[in-house]
Amino acid sequence: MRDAATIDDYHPETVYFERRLNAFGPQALELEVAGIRARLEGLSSEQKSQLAARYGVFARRDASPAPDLVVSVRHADRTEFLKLRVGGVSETYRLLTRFEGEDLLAWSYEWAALVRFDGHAATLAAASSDRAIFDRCIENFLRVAFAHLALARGGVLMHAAGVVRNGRAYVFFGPSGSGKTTTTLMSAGDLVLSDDLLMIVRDGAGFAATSVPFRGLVTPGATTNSRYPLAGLFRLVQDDRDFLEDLGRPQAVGQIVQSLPFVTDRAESAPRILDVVSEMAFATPVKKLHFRKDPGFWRIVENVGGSAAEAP
Amino acid sequence: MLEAPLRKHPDAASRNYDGEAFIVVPGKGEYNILNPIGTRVWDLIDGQRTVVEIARVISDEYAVAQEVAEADVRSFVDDLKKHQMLA
Repeated sequence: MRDAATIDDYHPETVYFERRLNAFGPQALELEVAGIRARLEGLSSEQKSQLAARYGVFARRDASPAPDLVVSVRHADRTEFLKLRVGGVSETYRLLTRFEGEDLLAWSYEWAALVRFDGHAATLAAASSDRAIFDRCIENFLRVAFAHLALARGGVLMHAAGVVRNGRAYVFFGPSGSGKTTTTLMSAGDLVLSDDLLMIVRDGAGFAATSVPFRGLVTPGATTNSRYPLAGLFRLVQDDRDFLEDLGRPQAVGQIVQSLPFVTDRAESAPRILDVVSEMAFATPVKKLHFRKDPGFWRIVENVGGSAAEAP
Repeated sequence: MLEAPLRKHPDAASRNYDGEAFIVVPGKGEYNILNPIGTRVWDLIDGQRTVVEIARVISDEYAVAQEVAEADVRSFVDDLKKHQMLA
């Protein structure tokens, strides 16, 4: 039986997006992440300026003739979709997704979107023009969209920290509390790609890691959108000494799959996910890193991967 | 009574790595890794074979008595069902 709060949730169907919803304005902004381009259309001048400032190095001045996704941003005709549950313990942020054929429906509290990947088009209905709410709508939608776009391109959006040392990216992953942020704090002088979310993309015969523009409202933005060859993927385990533990291929694949947000619920995506992650695990060393909370782990990590990717 | 053939869950996706099957059922929030014998049984689940028929193959390939193979396969199949990996 549903509780009173969920009874008031509004779950949009694809027909919702056939309504005539108003744009916020005539402006457009393109973002590029790891070569994937999304254009946001229907913005006001103020929204375009604010989003361009927010997304910094990922905001493009030029318009692509064929973006990977054109997003029509519209003002929703309702004030909310999912209802925020009040009283008692605060709820975990809810974001729901459902596929209808190849089309993705995604919705949360203040936004809902329909993405037609085949047509490279999406409609995003945002319930408010209030800056903080609007930015949050855009941000959360783009996370979902780019996770799927990355997978289609043979890459992944991954919950992971990434640090660049000597031109190579070291990616640290694990569940919340495993130490992802700690590894970035223990990397003074190195370029931090992210302490939470990054993208791994194909790069020649191997893979590379890149920052993404998605972050909380108070986290500083990434300073680079360059890609860096992947030196290794390290599953974090806090311990009282630093050492690496080999992971068998199935374990490596499983650990990585568990760090992929937004894409793993859909059965039809599973074969594609396994293909991509399998190739990553073949091309890149994947290890368990037992580490203490100090920079000493770099002594054993920075030599992993050598100078060339392992052959599959 | 004839046993029904075993079928994999339609949403299950799997890959074999070095003789070990990795299986994920989307939405279940878990993955499973099978040892080589479990992987062989998993590969034999093709919607055509019953437990008895799979056990016969295992009995031949691993030189174990049919009854032993059948008991082991049934136990393994029960585990697969528990993890919702079978239809």
